[in-house]
Amino acid sequence: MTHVERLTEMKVLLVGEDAALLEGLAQSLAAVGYAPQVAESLHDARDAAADAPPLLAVVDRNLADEASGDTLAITLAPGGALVLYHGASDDLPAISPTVQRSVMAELTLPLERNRLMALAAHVQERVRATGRGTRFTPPEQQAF
Amino acid sequence: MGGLRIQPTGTGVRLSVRVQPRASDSRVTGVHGDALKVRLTAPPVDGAANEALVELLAGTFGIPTRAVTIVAGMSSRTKVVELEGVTEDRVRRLMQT
Repeated sequence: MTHVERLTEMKVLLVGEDAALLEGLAQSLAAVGYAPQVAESLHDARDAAADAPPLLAVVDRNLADEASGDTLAITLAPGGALVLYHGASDDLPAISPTVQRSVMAELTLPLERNRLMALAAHVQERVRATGRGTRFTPPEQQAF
Repeated sequence: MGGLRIQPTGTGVRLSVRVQPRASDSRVTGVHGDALKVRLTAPPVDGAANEALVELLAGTFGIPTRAVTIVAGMSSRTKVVELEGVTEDRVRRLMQT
């Protein structure tokens, strides 16, 4: 994998219980080169993010409501962003101001699928422009 | 673990499996209701997740992939699988480790 290819690889973590919705989003993201992963719960999402932090975490607002603390505690990659989503007919539960401040955007999915794709592209571009995100270590600098 | 329902067959066992595709890793994570809960990195596209499930279960129970059969739920997240040459006791012991 080249340096440029490594920088353009972007993990997107989709978190929620609506498997059909998330799989549809995952296929859309995968089709344009992102690496989507799906987690059913915040617990699973934290596990997945600890292994390899995503640049974009897209979390069901209903799960954010269940977060025990003031934060969702999902580790993001440098330059990464958190997005909340809800369904068009969902009652929106209150979430803590701390979580609200940490959120880049809130989307109604699947209606705003295109906006999600645009946000993903924006975060990817921001990471590229600032040089943050996944770093490529040349083989000669890698520890043996 | 007590919730896992395992049905002995003439040649092995039959059990339900709840699959989470596109996960960060592939492994058996516990029990979901009366089903085995499994994470797979494979996407649910073109049978990739089913194939990955068969390989994971074969590896987990130390049996050949041909001894694992998905008998129901090919396109569902909840599947029923048959494991040939595996006893109920062995499944429960493996789940406790």
